[in-house]
Amino acid sequence: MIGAARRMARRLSPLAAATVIAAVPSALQAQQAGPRAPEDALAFAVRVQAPGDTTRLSAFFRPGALTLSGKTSSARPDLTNLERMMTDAGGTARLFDELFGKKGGEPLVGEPGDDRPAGEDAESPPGAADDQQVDGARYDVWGAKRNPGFAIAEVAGTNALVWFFNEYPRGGNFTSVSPRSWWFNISHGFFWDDNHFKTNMFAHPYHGSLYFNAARSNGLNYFESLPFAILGSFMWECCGETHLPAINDWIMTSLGGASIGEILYRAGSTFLDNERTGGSRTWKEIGNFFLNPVRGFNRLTSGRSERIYANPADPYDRLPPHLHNFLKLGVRHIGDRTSSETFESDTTTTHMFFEFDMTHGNVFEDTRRQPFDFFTLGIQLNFGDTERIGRLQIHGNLFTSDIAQGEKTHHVFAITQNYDYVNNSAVEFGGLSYGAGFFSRFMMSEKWNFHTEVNLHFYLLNAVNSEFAFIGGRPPNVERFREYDFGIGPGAWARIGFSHSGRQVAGLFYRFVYNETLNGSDANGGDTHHTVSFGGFQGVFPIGRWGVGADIIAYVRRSTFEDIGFSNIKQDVGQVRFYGVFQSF
Amino acid sequence: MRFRLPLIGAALILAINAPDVLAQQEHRRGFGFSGSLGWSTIGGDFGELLTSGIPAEGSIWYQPSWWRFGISIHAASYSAVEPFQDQTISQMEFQLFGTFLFLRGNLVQPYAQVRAGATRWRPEGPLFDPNPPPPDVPPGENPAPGENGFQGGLALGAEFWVTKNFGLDVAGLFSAFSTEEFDVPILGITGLSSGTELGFRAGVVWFP
Repeated sequence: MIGAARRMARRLSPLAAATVIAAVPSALQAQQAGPRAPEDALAFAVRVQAPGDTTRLSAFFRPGALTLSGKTSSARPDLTNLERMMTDAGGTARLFDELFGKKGGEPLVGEPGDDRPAGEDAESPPGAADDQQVDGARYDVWGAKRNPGFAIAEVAGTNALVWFFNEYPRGGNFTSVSPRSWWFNISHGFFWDDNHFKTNMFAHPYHGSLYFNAARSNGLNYFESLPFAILGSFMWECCGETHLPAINDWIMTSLGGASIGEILYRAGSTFLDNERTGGSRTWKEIGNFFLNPVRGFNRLTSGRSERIYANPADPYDRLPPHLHNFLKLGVRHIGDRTSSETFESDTTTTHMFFEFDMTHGNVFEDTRRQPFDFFTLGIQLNFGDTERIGRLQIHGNLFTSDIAQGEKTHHVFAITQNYDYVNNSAVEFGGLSYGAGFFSRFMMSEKWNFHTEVNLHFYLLNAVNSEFAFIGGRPPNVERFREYDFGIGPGAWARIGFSHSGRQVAGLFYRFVYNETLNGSDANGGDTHHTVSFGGFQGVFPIGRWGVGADIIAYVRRSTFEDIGFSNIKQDVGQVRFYGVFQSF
Repeated sequence: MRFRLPLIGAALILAINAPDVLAQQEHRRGFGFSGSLGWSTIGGDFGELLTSGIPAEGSIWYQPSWWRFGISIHAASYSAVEPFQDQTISQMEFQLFGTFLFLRGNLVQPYAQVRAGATRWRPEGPLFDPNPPPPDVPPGENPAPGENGFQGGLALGAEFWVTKNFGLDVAGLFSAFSTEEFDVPILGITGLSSGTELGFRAGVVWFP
């Protein structure tokens, strides 16, 4: 290794070389002190700064590979080659053969004879493709040590922080906890709570995402992290507040938290780049911290946020081969007509909206199919409506398998986990479901393809706006009247889409949800249920990556209250949207 | 007689793990966690109002050598004196602590712990949290806010290491605290501002 460093040093200016040679022994000492992470066991990093110059160079050594990365703010003639390599293709370069003689004779990146396409990621050294064992400890592909103990501590710490905020700055009436309140809550069992729709169906799942990521960012995978979300939520319900435990909170915080937590983990991974240095690295780490505070905290405290080491080798762990982002900005006109035998209302409003849709991975590609390697995410921000976050939907594949594949057709089966949250002036709908998805693709020509998706699922919990939710099932410490019913039931959706050259141009969808009310308007054991249908058409005219589009969406609710002595309700909500589009893929 | 089997089991676990435990404890360093439940009584001003309570404590700490430094959350609820025994006053403390470990590297590891931090006392129970809340208190906010203060104390105890990562902890506790004037007009008690706490705790220690 020393020889390799000296050889590299000879390629630098004498001034910089002296610095490199001086740096190597300390790096070796660090290595001899014992491996702390797989990248330390296999490699070590050296930072070089030429005296009197603002050129900074980081060298990442590992058997068979060397990555040079850095930024230069002044051009020194004797660093020209390195500088070019560093700035080429995002600032990384591979020098296997030059330094280690593994592939002798292969030209350097950018040198005559190098036929690798500019910008191709092949210059990055291979990172870990799977978890690694070092000295009996397991590390994930991001170099995070598997540490369930710290995950538990962070789950408890998250609850302590939330408790602290509610007890001190907020002065809440539910935070006077003690062993007495813990026993009281455990011995009285679960109830349903009366929190706002946003709190129950969005804030609690976000809270759960922190538990989930406490485990996920401590080296555990999706399924291993799930119990931490379940236990973290139980810890809060029993011991973090004096309100009686709520079953709806437990379901949405733990399972909804896993949905949000996993997509935040994946979204953060698309930001991160272990091989970057300087300001761009800092901003990427800040971006990840903003998206996923627990993971950001763990990277910061473990030193991984500043250490230079290889990115995960499998693109699905960082930037999947198919990452389609869809941004829309426009106006929406929404009309709400609610009627019954005794009541009728008709309102219309027009507001601006911003929407971000992401498709992570390609369900038809079978290079790797781990949980959430394929997911779709939709976020809609409504301006001027009752709530800013008007929609958050996450549909992720837990298990995916090919059914049949022909020359022009491909059919795939998947077990999906679906999280839904829709909250605006007319509609409150949300829930957590698991289902079976059937995906099909039909290649019509080289450029046109037609794809369909059918999903049959069951809601472990769903919530639907309801006029009479306040009359029954109120918790012992009622503080407000709830305006939505909790229930369970089956659901289904079907989608048809047309794409041209990978760009989505038209789509049709229909969705049906049944809510057998378990708590709310089912007073005195009366049977109450809701059926909810969403349907719509979307068309986009693409102009390169940009485009303009429009869609029509209908929400139809039929609520049956006869059994509790009220007339049934029909709610028809229509929405038309016009928008500009930006697509990246 | 009925305790014989568990005792034999515990002795076997200790005997099997002892070499590992001893090898680990002597040079042990790093982060760890502990949690406990206990029982304590209140004296001083607050002793006029309160009898006994059950405190719980959770800590995270770092042990670089013979010392261990950390933070802990201590939560308890104390029963009021008769005839208000159904009403309770809750105590919440955030503490910094330093623990000196005697006989490091032994299965039984005595220690002395010095602790200090912020304390908060608050009435709880149906009398203090009426339903519906008073008209001037928005839903969700506390109609009986607490009073803040400071506390300091000492714990003397011992850890019994069962495996190399897991031990049992028993300690006696004493602390003194001072708060802003704490009034409970509904019970006819006003002007409480200081007190002492004496009790014990039993729990677990974990080096992950």
